[in-house]
Formats: sequence, structure tokens, C-alpha cells
Amino acid sequence: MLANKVIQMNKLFGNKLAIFIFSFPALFLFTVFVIYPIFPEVLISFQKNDGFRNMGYVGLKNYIDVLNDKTFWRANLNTFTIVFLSTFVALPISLIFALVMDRLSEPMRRFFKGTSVLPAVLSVTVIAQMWIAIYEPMWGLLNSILRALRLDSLAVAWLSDSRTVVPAIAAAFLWQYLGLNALLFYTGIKAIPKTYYEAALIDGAGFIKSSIKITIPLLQDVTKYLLVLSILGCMAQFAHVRIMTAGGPGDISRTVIYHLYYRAFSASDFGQGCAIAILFVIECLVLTFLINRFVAREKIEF
Amino acid sequence: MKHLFKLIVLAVTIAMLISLFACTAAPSAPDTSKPADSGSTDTDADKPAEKVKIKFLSLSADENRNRIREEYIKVNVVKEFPNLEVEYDLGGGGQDYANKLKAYNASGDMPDVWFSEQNLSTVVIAAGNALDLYPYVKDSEFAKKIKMKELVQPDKDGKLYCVQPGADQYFTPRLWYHKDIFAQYNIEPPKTFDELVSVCETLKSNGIVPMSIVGKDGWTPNLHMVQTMIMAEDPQVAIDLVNNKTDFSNPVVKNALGRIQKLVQIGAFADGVTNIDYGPAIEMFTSNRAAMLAMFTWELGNLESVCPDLDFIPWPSASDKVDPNNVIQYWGAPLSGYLAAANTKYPEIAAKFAMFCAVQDALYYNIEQKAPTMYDTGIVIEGVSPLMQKNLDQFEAAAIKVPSMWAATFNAKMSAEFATENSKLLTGQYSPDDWISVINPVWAENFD
Repeated sequence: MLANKVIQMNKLFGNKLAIFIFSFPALFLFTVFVIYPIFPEVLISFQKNDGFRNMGYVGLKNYIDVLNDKTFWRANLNTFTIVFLSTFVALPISLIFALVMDRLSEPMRRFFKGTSVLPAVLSVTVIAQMWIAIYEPMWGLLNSILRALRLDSLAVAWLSDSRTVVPAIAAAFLWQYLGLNALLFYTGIKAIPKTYYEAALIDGAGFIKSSIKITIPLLQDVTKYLLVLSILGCMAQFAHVRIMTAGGPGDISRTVIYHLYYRAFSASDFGQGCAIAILFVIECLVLTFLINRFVAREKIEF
Repeated sequence: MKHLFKLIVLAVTIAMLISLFACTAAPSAPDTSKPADSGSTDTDADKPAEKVKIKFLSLSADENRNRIREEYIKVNVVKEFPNLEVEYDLGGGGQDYANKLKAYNASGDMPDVWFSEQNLSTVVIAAGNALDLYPYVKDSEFAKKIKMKELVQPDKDGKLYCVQPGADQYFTPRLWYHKDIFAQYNIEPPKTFDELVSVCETLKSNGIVPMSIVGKDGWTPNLHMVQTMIMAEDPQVAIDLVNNKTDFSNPVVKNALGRIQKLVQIGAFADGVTNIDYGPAIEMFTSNRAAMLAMFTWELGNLESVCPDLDFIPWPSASDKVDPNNVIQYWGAPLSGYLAAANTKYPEIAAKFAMFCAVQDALYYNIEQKAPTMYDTGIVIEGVSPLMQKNLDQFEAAAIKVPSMWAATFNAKMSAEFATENSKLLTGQYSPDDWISVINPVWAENFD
């Protein structure tokens, strides 16, 4: 009886018409709201356009201007700095948190599971304002601690100094998602069968060795998912920059998306804004391709 | 447990559906307004049979604008327009406000009435999104009570897009200071730029922030400091810039930028100045952490109420040929004020509401700030504080009055690039030459 039902279901889901009917609503909405807007954007990127008037086609001029613009490259550098810090600093920290969380007692674990998502669900404005207060040069927490430790030379204007402003914004942004990423890693850890750890324990492996040899390799699917999510999230960084520095001083802390916003809305140059948007889409596609090509290609089943 | 879960899911679904319906726009009230009668403003458009709803976008980042909206517009609109329901859209300030207005402009879905400065007004007008107010203004009581008739006259194209109370024409940037702090350190108010540098150094060495400015987005240099520093050496260059008779490669401009750079480098401004917003800059001065404040006279009333030792000096000169008392920069621009949307459903009501808002501005400045306006509210300004009187006397006595470049001439792109470059200038590590090389090409397109 049950076997028949399973066969019927398999037939139904194997039917191309059924697949089309089920996927059509989602594909339709995706096409209308995600794919379609790209086409007018491509068109505008070849125009001199102030957002409400097409003042003529200018060929590739917008692209040439953008690629010759130092600020665009600085914005790219800033964006990739944040991506780098996310990939090589924030994600490993989240992984360590997850590994530690797995070893905690149940009440402690419940507490950390609950609190780790708090920063992620808080408004960006709240988080950004909190970090602005922490970085305040005269009375902010960070400089107060540094001065108390007699490290006055390190107490700088974090959000106004060209050397520190991008890492300072990155710290605020990445801190917000440390807990959430740790929780996602933790769910991956819980899916790994305990028998592997029991065998490792019999062979004399401790916490660090079993983490390196068992947990981390078996977390590759979660890691890949978090890597894509984190990299694309960092690439699209905007709100923290807008609130914390407005891209300043000058254009020093602009990210690509902020620079796009600046050109389109502040400078009323939608032609260049759209050209930046198209270049940004290409960057994101290349990154996603590279991740899919080189990260966790072999499926591990356990 | 399962039942409870189902119940919760059902409750959440119902709540979401209700919110969805509640958030859906209700059918608009029919258009009860009639085209304006050019000969009369006494139509019954302000007393429609049904409640009319309009949207009003207002600046909400400074005390004056907030008080005008909350204590005057909101209070008096009920008496003046009993059948009018106003939705207040608070747009923040500075670039946030500019970007919000530009987003509205790009969508074509403007609020019915809004406040904007000249550089933003020009963008909206160019897009055809601003209503010609002249048919509604020309024979109105409002027009009759404006003392400076240019403010209610149409432009070259025969249209009038903006109404204002004429308070801006009296606003000028001052260098406010605490008399007590100056007395404590035996400091005389500076008359020249070199003296100003010396005063800043003395204050800095005593652990006081010499001068508070709004550094975020380069606000203070944008709105007046660059021009102030130009006028300190040669006011004619500022006049020529306003009239597009020179550009920013003028040596006087370079010297002016050098003076701002000098102030940054000697520590005249607070640490992290590029990230200091309007409110914190004022607070730094009113809490006595800063000895001086670079700010327009629109804050005079507020500053006076919290700083009993308040005084001001005209901006120090940088040349023997310039008498600081004889030169003044004023804020007013023809397109700074209230505008209405071209596609509003209720053009006459929107026009009347815009005029009403301008009158409320005038009332606020006359009553609360004891400041004069070009609109005659009928209020005799009495009890003007000695400081306000000193300000007005110096204003009237100045022979050279130059309008603000930022307010009167810059387009949106020029404003944006000017703000970026000034923010860089405030780091102290950006040269005037770099500043000029970026700004001049943008300036060349400003009047296109």
C-alpha cells in the first residue's frame, strides 16, 4: 500500500508538467522582481541619465569612467577587505564558538544558542549606533580602555582615520553575524554521527584532533553554504557604512554598493550608477562560480 | 502540543492577513478641488466636504525644523484646515534628506508638499515634479504680506515653484564663543585668521576643543566655511563664483582651502571631526567642551537659551583689505522653501498648505527666535535680546552681502562632490590642489 503511494508520488514528481506547475509561481516572481529589472539597468548604463531623464546614449563612456575612477577601485578594495576579514577571521571564530558550544553543558548551551542570534535580529541602526559610541574618540569605550591601559598612542579616531575606518566598520558588521554563523555551524556539528567521535576517542584523539580530523571535514556543506552567504553578504555591505561613516571621510570607507548609491542618488548620475551595478553583478557571479568550482566539490555522505 | 502549534500558526496567519489589508492603501478620496481661480484665493477648496489627506515631507534632524512642525504646523493646521489630514513624513537631515527626496523624485511619486533647499529644488523642478504655485500665490494674502516682492514673483519662465517666509535672508554664519572660557584663559576674540590660529592653539593646549563644527559629510565647510574663508581674503571672488564668473582654480580659493587645512592640522576641531553630526556638534559647544562653534544664526535662540555666556564674532579676515564687519554671507536662495508636487491630487490645497507652512516658519522665527522675516506676521518683535540685536545691527551695517554658493548655485552633483571633497579636506591629509582638481571639472558642468 505504502509502496504504491511512493511509486505514484515519484511518478507525479517525475512528470515535467508537474515540475513546471509547482515551480512556475516562484520562477515567475523571481523573473519579474530579480531578472527583469536587470535589463533596464543595462540600458541605463549606456545612457547619460539623471534618474528621470535619458539625456542620450553615450556608449561605453559610463563603464570607462567607472573603471578609470580611483574611488571605484578603492570601494572594491574596501569591499574585498571586508570579504577577506569575514572569510579568514569571522567564519573561523564562528566555527570555534560552535565547537566550544558543542562541548558545553546543556543549560549553558541553551543560553548561548539563545543569545547568539540576538545581534543578528537587532536593527542595523541599533548595532551601528552602538559601535559608533564604542569607537567615539574622546569618551568611547575602546579608547577609554586603551587609555586606562596606558596605550594612548593606540587611541585613535577609529571612524575618521583612513587606516582604521574600514576594519572598524568590518568589525561591527562581522560581529553582528558571529553568533548566527556559529549556530549554523553548530547545527552542522549535531548532524555528524557520534560514532565517529567514539571511535576517535578510543584511538586517543582529543578535542582539537577530533575537531580537525572529523568535525571540520564533515562540515564542508555547511561551510560552503556559510561561505557563499557570508561573501555575498559582505559584497552587498551598505547599511553599516551608511550609518557609521556615510562612506567618509570623503570616499575612503565606501563599499561598491555605497559608491553605486552615491553616484546614482547623491550625484544624480544614474548612468554611472547602473554601470557600477552591472560590474558588481559580474563580480558576484564570478565569485559564486569560483566558490562552486573550488570549495567542497566532492559530496561526503555519512 | 500539536494543537497549540496549529492554533499559533492560525493566529499568526490571521494577524498577517489583517496587517496586509490594513497596510493596503485605501481608495483615495475623490478630487474635490477645482482649478485655481487666478483672480481670487477665496475658494472653498480648503473646506472640502470630505476629509482630504496630503503627505508632507519635512526635515527632522534639527531643533528649529522639528519645533516648527510640532509646535506650529501641527497645532495650527487643525484650526486653519479643519478638513485636512496631514501625513507627516520625517526625512532626517543632510544627505539622508537629500537622498530621500531624490528617491521620491526618481519615482515621480512626490509628497504633496515638502521643504527643500535650492540645490534639491532645482532637481525636482528639472524633472517636472514641482507645481507652479504662481496662480495660487499671486493674489493671495500671503503675497501681500511678503515685504521682499522678489520672493513671490515668477522666475524667467513665468513660474513660481517655491514659497518661503524670507527668514533665510537674515541667516548668516557666525563664530560663536563662550565668553567665560575666553576670559578664563585671557583670550581676546580674534579679528584676523592668524589670531584665530593662535587662539585655537592656546585653547588646544589647555585641553579645550577650540572650535566645534559639523564634520559629517563636510557639512560646515559645505554650507559656509569654504565660502567664509574665501570672503575673508577677497569677497569679490565669492561674488564671482556665485555669478559663474570665475572657477575654483582662483588662487584665493586655494588659500581659503589652505586655511581650513591649517585649522585641521593645528587641532582646531575635535578628534574624529569627519564623523561629527549636527546635534553632537551643537552639544559639544553647549556643554562647554568646545570654546567656539561655527554655525548659522538660525541657532541663535537655541544657543542663547542654554549658554548664558554666549557671544559671537564676525569671521576673522585674512587680508588687511577686508573688514570683517563689512562683509556678510547670507543663506537665502529663491528656491529654498516649501514646494508642492506637480501631480498632487489637490493642487490648490497643496499650494495653500505650502503657504501656510511658510507662514508658520515666519511665526516661529518672529515669536520664538525674535528674528525678523520678510513675511509680515503682524507680530511686533519685542524683547529682542542684546545678542540678537547685535547680530541684526551688524547684518544691516555690512555693505557687502554675498548669497551662499551652496544654497544659491550648486546643482545636485556639485553639492555631492563638494561634500565629498570637503570631508576629505577635514582629514588634514588632503591637499587644496587635489581638492581643486576634482571640483573644477564638476563646477564646469554646474550651470549646464
